[in-house]
Amino acid sequence: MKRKGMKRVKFRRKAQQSRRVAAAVRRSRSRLQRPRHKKRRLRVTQTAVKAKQNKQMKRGSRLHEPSVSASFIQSSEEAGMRDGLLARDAQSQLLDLHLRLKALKQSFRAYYANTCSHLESYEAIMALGTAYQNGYSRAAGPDLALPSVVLIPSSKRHAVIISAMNEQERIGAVLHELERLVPDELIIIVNGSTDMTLQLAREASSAATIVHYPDAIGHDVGRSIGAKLARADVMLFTDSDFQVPAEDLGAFLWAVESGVDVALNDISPFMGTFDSRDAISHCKLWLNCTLGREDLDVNSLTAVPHALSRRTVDTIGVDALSVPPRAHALAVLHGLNVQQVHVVDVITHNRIRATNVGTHNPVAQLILGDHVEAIQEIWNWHGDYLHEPQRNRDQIALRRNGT
Amino acid sequence: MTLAHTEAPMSSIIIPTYNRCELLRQCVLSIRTYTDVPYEIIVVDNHSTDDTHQYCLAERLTYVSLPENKGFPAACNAGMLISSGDTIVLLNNDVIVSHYWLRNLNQALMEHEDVGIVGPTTNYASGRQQVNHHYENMEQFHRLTVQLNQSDRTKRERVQRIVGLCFALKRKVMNTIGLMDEQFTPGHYEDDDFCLRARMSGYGIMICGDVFVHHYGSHSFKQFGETQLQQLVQRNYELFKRKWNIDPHHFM
Repeated sequence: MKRKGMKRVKFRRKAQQSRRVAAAVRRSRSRLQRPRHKKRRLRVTQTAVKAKQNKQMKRGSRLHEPSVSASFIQSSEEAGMRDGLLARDAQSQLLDLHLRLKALKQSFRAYYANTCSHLESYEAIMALGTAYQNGYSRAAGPDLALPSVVLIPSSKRHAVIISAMNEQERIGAVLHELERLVPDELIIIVNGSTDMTLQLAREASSAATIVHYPDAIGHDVGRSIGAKLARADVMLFTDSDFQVPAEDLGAFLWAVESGVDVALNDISPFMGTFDSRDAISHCKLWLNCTLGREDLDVNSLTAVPHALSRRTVDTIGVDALSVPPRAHALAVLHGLNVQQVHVVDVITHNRIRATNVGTHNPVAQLILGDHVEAIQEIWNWHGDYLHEPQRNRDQIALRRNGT
Repeated sequence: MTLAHTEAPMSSIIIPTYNRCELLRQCVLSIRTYTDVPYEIIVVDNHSTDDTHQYCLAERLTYVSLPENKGFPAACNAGMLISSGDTIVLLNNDVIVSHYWLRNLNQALMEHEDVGIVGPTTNYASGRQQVNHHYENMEQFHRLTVQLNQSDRTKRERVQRIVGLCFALKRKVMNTIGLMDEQFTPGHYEDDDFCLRARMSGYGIMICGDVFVHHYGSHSFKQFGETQLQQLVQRNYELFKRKWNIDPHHFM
């Protein structure tokens, strides 16, 4: 009896074992049909949560607390006071406001160059500039009061370029904010306007060069015409649709000052996960991946604001700027320094127009076509490999089927 | 690149202007009436204080508004930078053009690979471009030019310099030698300087005897008085000599 029982146990164990083996064999065979997405989804959820946290952090922090020591802030304020006293003695209230702002910018630059040129972060520059202006206005007195501006210590010429079409409500406020950057050149391309944009622009900005085209030419062509006219080393491009604070725009100028050739706006915090993005965002991401720049995500010259160095404009040519994705591709292909430098929300308040809603709206079609041109450019450079190294069939199979 | 293969080269006509809107009006009207080849007009306004900008808006002209009076060379440069034509024509606002003017100028440019700059004959200019024809009003002028402006290669001659009042150049000249020298602001001798630089780069300069234009003459500078004008001309003459160590009068 016992032996029979033991035999039964043995048999059962063997059966269990063989079942286990059979199951394992089945599993290994049917590995391709195993629903792998189950595992993947889990991973995606985890990273999605983390990504969302990162994005919220980026979105929230505009310019986080500066890490400049109090002593430098103090010395900046004192330098401002000294220069303010000098200005008062020189009776500079007789000068034009524009000239006085230029002088302020120059004297701040002299202070920065002599004392704290080792402080290179944009937050530090902002803090020093604010302190300097505080000191200046206190010492100079109410007669010589100057509006609060964004002081960027620079030996190079800065140009700000915008194009405008029927923006009479906004143009005054936008230009006022741009003037706070104290640029050396301000170029406005008014095109296809049937309202008072031209007159209001002329009134709002006494130092700007305004080009007027009776027909609409589009933002992209407008930017390239502005770039043609500019004789600056650093060019900032932004839209006239809505006001971006000068403090945010200054970050792009400072980035190019510091050696970046193409300073991009980081709009990825405002994009959801891959599955929730629209076709155009996928295009932008794909373009960057094709260029070997996955780190840029959906950021490219398609979005404003962005700033370019003179070197960039001379290398890729002014005409290339009419097709922003192609200009972006050319910049990367030429080995220029392309970076995302600051976060400016241009997505949330993007004006809804008749032409940019709906799945196949004209604006989307235009951008799609532009991306085709960009891919064409990469093709011309690298041939149809698109810079992918050639793989043999085993390697391709391994990649497709997974390990 | 020779323009000979281009059937009809597009010309960018750049008109720097400072007040005297009525002159600009006549100038633009004459261009629109008598130009039968493709062109674009770019008016560069040196911060006029009259109704120039209303006129340009109403006439749907491409219009560059400068923030202050930057003078003739800077205004030309702004227009040249945004121009898109194969040939560029700098035109004073006090010039009246007539039959076949641009067609003949373009033809002179296209015919020879090396010719870079061409200009017309006129009633009032310094140097060899001034010719005397008798007419008492603009009607007579336009009737006269029907004959005078008949295309005629034999009437075109090579020279060393032409004046800037009507100055047609190929785009490649600008690409090679650059823009007008703004040290000659507000004006005078920047055209001599440009012609010299063009010749030094191997480009030829021609006067087209088969193009006659009317020039009212130095209106912009006369606004400020005769003596000031003389001083300006003298100052720029010295500037030119200091720059090149050559007397520009040699080339006139």
